[in-house]
Amino acid sequence: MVIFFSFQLGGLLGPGGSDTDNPLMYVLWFAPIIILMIYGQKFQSWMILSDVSKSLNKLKTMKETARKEAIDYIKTSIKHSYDPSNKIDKFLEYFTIMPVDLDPNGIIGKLNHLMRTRDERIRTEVKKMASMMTESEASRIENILEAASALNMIYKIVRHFYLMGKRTTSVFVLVQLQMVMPLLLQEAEALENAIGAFKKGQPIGDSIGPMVVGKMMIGKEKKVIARETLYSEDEHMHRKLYLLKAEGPAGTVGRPGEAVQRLIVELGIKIDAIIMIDAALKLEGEKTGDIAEGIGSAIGGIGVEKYQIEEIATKFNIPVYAIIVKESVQDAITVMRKEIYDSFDKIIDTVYATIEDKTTDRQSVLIIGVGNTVGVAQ
Amino acid sequence: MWFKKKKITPTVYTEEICQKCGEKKKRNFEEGDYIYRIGSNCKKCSELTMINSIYGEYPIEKQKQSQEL
Repeated sequence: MVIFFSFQLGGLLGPGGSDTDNPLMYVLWFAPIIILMIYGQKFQSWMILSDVSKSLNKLKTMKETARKEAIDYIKTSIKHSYDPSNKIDKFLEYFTIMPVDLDPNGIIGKLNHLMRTRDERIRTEVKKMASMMTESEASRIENILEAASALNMIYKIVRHFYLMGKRTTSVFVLVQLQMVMPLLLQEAEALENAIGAFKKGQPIGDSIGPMVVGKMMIGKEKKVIARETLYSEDEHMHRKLYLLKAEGPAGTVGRPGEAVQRLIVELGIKIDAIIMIDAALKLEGEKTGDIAEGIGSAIGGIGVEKYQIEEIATKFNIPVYAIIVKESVQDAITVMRKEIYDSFDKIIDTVYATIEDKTTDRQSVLIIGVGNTVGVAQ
Repeated sequence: MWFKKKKITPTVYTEEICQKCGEKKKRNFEEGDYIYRIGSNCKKCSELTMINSIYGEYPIEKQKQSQEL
């Protein structure tokens, strides 16, 4: 067939059949080049659009699944025929307007107020759905709604740039979107998996800090120091230990910043060192569950808690030591991986080694387990 | 390229440890489990166990992928 076709083509090119002699060959060679020069960018845009469109559909499915899961979970936990769909849709569209950063007095106070108001509002709205709901159930619903809301936001932003790129056929907008798409999809998948973990109350990768301090708190008296935040007292090698973590097994991070302020300023406890244990983002190539030690306030979030701890530490000249467990964003918000759990004993050893190295007899150490304490009691 | 990537999900386990003899028991996670909750009775000494950990284990291929570098 191929041989027959080449004979036919040979006939078309005329006797002798040399490629360079025939003008038709010139057209066949140059036409695609000219077409690609004129329409190349359009073709590229179409290809990128189809690629992004596939990813956008995936995001849409994830977003809708998350919404449905949130509705189903609320329906089963409030146990009556009330349909929360409208309320959930309203939640997913909630927004927070950041305070003006031109303020010379500092915006941390405003940020703190804003975040507290936001948290209170969400908690009140969730509790309004069923007055019988326990704190633990309410915090689980809050976590599920936060994940669903983040998925909704990712979808909406990607759709915005996709439609803008489509309308303007701007290859530059589309290429940027196509480049970040794999990372966005990864994050969206992690959020989707996080909903499953929150629904079942399973500890996540971020819970490693509270898990370590929770273990140290077993059998000790627990006192509430701030909202959803507890502390206990202990002793180790003639040093006084103050152990602080969010109140588990609810899905909350507590208020460690406020708790540190109360302990040191209001209760007047003299602290000689602060040790913070938290999950931290690993770089690609680093091993999940590896431990690293450092200096500084190991806490994420918008920055309010970090500021509060740093302020107190600076004011009272307290050194802050950080012990971090390396993990990816996906690992941090999905069910705790075995590799992370395997580092548990090493963290405990590191904490005690730090206490012994950095403090002397009769000194006091504050140990903070930072992170979401879902599925971890104390 | 042409095939849909298979979604890999971890199997979640709960590990209980006897507070007296230290005997460990690994089982599948059940709704209501949380770390440091009192668990079932120890098979060896009948003392109460405590949930020591809850973790997800991925299939071997996924573990290899993350350890390649």
